[in-house]
Amino acid sequence: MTCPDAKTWNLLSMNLLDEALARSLRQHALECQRCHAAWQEASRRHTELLETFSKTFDCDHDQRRDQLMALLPVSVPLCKEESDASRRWWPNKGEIAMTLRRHKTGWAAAALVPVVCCVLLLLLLTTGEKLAFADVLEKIRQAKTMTCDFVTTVTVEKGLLPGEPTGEPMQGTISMLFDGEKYSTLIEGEKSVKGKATKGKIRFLMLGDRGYVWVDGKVRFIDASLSGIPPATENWLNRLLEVRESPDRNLGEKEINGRRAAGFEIVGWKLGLGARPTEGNPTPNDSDIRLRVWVDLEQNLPIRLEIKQKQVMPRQSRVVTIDQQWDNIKWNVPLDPARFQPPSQEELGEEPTMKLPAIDEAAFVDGMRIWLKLEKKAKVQIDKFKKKAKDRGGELPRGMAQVFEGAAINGGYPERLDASWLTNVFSIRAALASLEKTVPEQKPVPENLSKEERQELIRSRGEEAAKASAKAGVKAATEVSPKATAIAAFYQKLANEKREPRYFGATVTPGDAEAILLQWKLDDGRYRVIRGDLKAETVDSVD
Amino acid sequence: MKETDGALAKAARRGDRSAFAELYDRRARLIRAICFNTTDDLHSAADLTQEVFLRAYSKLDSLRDPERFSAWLTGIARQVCREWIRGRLRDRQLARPLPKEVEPVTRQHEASPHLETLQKDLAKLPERERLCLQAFYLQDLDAEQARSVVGLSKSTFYRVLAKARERLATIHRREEVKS
Repeated sequence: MTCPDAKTWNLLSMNLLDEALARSLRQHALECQRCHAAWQEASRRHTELLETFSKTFDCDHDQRRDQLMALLPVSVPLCKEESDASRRWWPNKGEIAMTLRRHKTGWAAAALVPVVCCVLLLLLLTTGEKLAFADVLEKIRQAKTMTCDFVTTVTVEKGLLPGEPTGEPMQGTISMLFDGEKYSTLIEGEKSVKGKATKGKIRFLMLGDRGYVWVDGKVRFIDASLSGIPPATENWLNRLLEVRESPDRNLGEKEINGRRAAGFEIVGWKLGLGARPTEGNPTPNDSDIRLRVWVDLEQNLPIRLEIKQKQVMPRQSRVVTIDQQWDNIKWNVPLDPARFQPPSQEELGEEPTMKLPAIDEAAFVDGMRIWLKLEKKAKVQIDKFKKKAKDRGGELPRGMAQVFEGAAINGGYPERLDASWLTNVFSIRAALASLEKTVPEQKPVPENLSKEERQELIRSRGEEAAKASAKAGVKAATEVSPKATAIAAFYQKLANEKREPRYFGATVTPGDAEAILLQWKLDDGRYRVIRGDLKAETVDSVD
Repeated sequence: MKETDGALAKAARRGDRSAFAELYDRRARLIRAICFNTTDDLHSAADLTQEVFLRAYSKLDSLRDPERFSAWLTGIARQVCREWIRGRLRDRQLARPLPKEVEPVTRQHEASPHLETLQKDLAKLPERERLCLQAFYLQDLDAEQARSVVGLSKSTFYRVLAKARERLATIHRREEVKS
């Protein structure tokens, strides 16, 4: 090896060279005295520079940070999509500081007085808002009953399937009894199909962790496994009560059903039961949520809830918007307890109970294993289709390409842990993986058939294969859906229990025994971690 | 595991002040260095840095790609520096005190003579080379981050960085000979 120049030693000292080259350079330096001295000099200079820069520009960093944090405006900076509607009209401290610096001291003093007054006024108003909202939450907690009308509209904005209904509202009433610990919820709904209302057809009763659904007056399904996931209706109130911090926006006042009401808006992760987004889990629980609460100014209790939730499936292949409105909300009104009675044993009959896996660490690990396994199988099938398309000299049909996108093949763990997203990806992967067994070997077409007979045979074989694949796909998707639910529900449960869960998802390589995939806090202050190799252990610290 | 700038910027945008404080901890030193290139005075550079972060906080909603927070912040720093120069030219004054509410808390930096020499040498580097060094050494030695801040390709950035180090060594040797 010829002796490298000074630039190379500089780059080596800064650790900017490929490992292979760096190794050979280090080896050379051990053999060549002159180069060894050059390397030593470069390394020494590197250390000096590091020290110089960090010392020179530290400038009482901690004090300055505290000073800056104290100067930040009290209000939350608005998200882009909302910024036009309610842009902050007052200048921030930085702008004031710049303006003042450009003018004489007298101007500065004169400008400072109104600015300080404005800031104090804003502080006062914001504090008042927090108190009012906290008061509302407290009154909800104390309420014994609640009734309201609801309208839910599910609109498929993108990726509408053939024959799938969209934009058709479901409406009805919600009644809730609260015994101080848990809600009993009764939803009686009617679905308007193309403008034709079919009244009283759906009844849903949740008693703690047991759920019953009546369709046409008959119990059709019993769900006794939702202990980790509260039903949607109850979930919204729970989510609302979990919002300890102030709402994101004050919507002002307006008249609702003849009553004066003040509005509050909460968006994003706060509604994910307090689970903050982390590096690997940017949207831990359907972060694209907006909840508006309209509070009766006389009673200090909500009279209307508006919930807007956008579910974006993998790679934007399907976008669904769910709009819910709870209107005419009445609190502490007498309700007939008989309506909250579970169905009798005779009424239940022999209906099967769908069992979901337990919501625990083992279920999470099991779910992740299946995620990885399904990915491998799905990828094989995707590659097969791609190869076929390539051999024919064309591209994949658009619909098929969309489905493949939906499988979110990333060679790693799920990038998010929200239930709807996970269930969708699991189902697609399972359906693709099931093709391994269902796609039949291509049998040769007998040559003694006429052209029409040959075409008919090919068509009927194709139909048969498609039917078998669809059936197996649906079966496989149904089988794995609970696994997806278990993963999401476990994270949700940890967040709900305030165990500070952090999920690093797609940033962790499967099999990496060093990287943490999921961590949460235990009662004794230590942490439980699940690593990239899906082994769990308890550690004192996760730093 | 460290959260990315993007994740922190998003959290800050949602009102998480601790996330913004973390961003400040990570990037304030670089911004001070950039401001120092203009002001040639650490006090003023530190004050301008506060302004840069205040301005960044109020404009977080206009940050299109949170992952490019550092580069975006550097842009704000350059704008603030330009305004500072304009203000200085207009007022014919080298340095102006900040208003009372942002009273500086910085003490005079007490550097060792050795470090002072190095600082003086650094000041003699061309601006681009100095900026590359600052970006690299003040961004946790993360070449990719530093590269995106100064807006150079990977190969150019490495070349400028190596050149800067070489030039710095030459300046140092020349100064030693002089003294």
